[in-house]
Amino acid sequence: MPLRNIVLPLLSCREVGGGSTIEQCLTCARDVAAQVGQGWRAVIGAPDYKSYLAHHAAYHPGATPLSEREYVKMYIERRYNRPGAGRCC
Amino acid sequence: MSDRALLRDALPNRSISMLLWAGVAALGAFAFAGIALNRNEPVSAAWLVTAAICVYLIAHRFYGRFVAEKVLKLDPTRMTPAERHNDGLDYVPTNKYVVFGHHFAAIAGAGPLVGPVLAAQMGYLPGTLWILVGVVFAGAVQDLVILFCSLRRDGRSLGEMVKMEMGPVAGSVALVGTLAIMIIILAALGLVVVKALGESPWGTFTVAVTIPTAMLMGVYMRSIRPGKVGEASAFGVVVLLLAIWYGQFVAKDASLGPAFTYSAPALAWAIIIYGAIASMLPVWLLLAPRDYLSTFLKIGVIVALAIGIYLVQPDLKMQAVTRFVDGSGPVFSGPLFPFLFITIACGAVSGFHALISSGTTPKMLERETDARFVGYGGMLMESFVAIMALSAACVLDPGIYFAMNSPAAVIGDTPQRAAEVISNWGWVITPETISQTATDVGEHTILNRAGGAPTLAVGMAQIMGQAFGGKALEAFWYHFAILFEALFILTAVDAGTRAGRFMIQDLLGNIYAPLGRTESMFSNVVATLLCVAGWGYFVYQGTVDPLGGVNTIWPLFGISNQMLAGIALLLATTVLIKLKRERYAWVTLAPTAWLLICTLTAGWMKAFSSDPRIGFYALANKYSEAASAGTLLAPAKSIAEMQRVALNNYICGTLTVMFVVLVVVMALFTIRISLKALRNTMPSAVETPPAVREGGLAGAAA
Repeated sequence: MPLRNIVLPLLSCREVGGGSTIEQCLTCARDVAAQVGQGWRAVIGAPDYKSYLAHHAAYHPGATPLSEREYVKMYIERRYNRPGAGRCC
Repeated sequence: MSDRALLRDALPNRSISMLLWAGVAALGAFAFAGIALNRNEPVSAAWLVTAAICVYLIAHRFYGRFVAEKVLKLDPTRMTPAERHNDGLDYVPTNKYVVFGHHFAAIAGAGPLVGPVLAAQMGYLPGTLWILVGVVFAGAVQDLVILFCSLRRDGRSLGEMVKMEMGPVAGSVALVGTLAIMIIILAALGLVVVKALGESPWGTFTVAVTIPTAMLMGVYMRSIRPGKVGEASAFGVVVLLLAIWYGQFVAKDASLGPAFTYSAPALAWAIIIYGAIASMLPVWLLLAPRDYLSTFLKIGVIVALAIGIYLVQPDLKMQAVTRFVDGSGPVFSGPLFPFLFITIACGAVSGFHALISSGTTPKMLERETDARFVGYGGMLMESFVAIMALSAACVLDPGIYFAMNSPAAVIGDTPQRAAEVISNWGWVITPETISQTATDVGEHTILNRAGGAPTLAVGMAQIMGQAFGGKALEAFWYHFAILFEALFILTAVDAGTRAGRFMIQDLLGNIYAPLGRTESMFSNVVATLLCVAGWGYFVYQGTVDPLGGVNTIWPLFGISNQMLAGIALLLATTVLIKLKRERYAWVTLAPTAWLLICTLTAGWMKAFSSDPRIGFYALANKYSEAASAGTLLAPAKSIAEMQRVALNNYICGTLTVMFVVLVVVMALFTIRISLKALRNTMPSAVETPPAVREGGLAGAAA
């Protein structure tokens, strides 16, 4: 994998704002932190309500999404309680 | 877009890339030269790790790419299951770095930590070479090709794919095989924990604390702050660290100490009862929170160990090759070929990964081409863990290594006797050194703690102790390492028992339909108890059989795991031939052949060798004959114990024969189907019809 694929996304903040005010930097840092947090949750397989809402809005507009409590309940149940939901040796 | 375009132009790709790869190759060659030329003086473990990393980088860039582009023809324009079925739950297109982390967390468990530690008795070189060659040409290839097959079949599981491509009979054979392997794996892992915690109040206390801690986390994540895994895990990690620290006072306490001191057979019962109850509790209460906790620790420990090895640069004290390559070693018996290749399973090639590569991972990839990094690269990462485990075992004084890993039948159970026997082998050690090592890590004894975990823990404790905290913290790091392994072994026991239960229900459902209903309480209890009884039998016998234990069960585990890898690679070969890519079939056929040669030879020897140190039946006959003649054979203390040895070995021998038969049957299926496909002029693999995403390459994810 070329190195620039790793470097460029890190610099991508500059593309969005183009400017360098402190607010823009902060917004950008917050975005990056949110992305890292979301990635980390996906790595360890934790429920991610925000992504669920985004998916729901995009694919089932009009329908009522589950509440956070219901979503977490269903997510954990699906992730761990089904055939083949295994960990390795 | 201007910055991106500018930067892209500023980097003259090709020449920089070529320079970079030449550099990696040179560094790798230099590291290997360092290892090869310093045969008579100690080599730093950092060289071993560096050499491995260079091999991984080169393998991923060149061989991995060859397999992905030329053999599998991964197509970035073809829609993946995640895109076709995007449901926001199971099928979710995900960034490839995230899928990599997720996949790695699912494949890496205790396996790559245990096998290499046992294999260290032959020296560090044979193990290292097999881990590196095995992963590049067999393990990573298997993971990648199975991931590819599943990607092209809507994320179907290995069992379903065998059924689709090789027919229902082959599917059932594979299902029975997978169940048997699951039981053996759980038994081996359970035994590792039991051996590590026997007579260790400090360790037992910290592991016991994980259960209520995980339950508190579970309640927190479900009711108090739904879904806040990070907060709950932070709480869990802090509690566990406190528990490790407090454990030393528990061990010394007059009333608490004995309350947490258990013999190995008692702990075997404890883990059996635990397994039965835990796998019937709701998943949110114990399984899910502890899984999050162990994932955190797993990633943390692997990173810390890598940093530790580079900071401390400990010397490898084990020789490159020891005299035990001849098969006379105490840790596992049998010569280098074929036993090294089944002892190190995970880390070189692990059949179990085929189940993960055809599980959640294929449902997450957003591009087919990401499969190389995730499937091939993920396995390289696991191999890296195995190399570090091997290093940690080899930086120990070999005397200590053999004291910890040899069975009591060989080296006795006192430091004096152990020091005498081991010194006679040529690794001079004093009883004081053995006792001092035990004291340093806060244990009464370190003798006969086969199973990898404690050895790795002492090695890690010495590395981490030197890197962070010095001698004073060695005992803390030791128990941290034990806890870390126990944590994911208990998770595996829990999750594995559930998986085994589903398989048993699947099988029983064919005989009597109500037993196959996964929502029926009665069926669940019956299947769970059957599964627990299966692995529990081996765990318990491993603690009471004077000749049994990890040294008996681990070869069985290795054979079964490599056998599953053989089945997966046979499927992969069938698929390649059915796709009319027979020109490249050697990519999977060569590792298949090697695995079959190793597994079948090892299986044959384990079952029928006339040497009772190797052959299950030979040992069983020896003890059963002596028992009927009424002569007592050491180390058994009674005729009843001898009959138990005989029975256990008959069972293990029969299982081994069963595994051999399974592999041969699957190989015959492959040959038949492949010959038929070769005569076909058209591809006949059953893939989901291709669909190109709207907007082509740029489509959905842009």
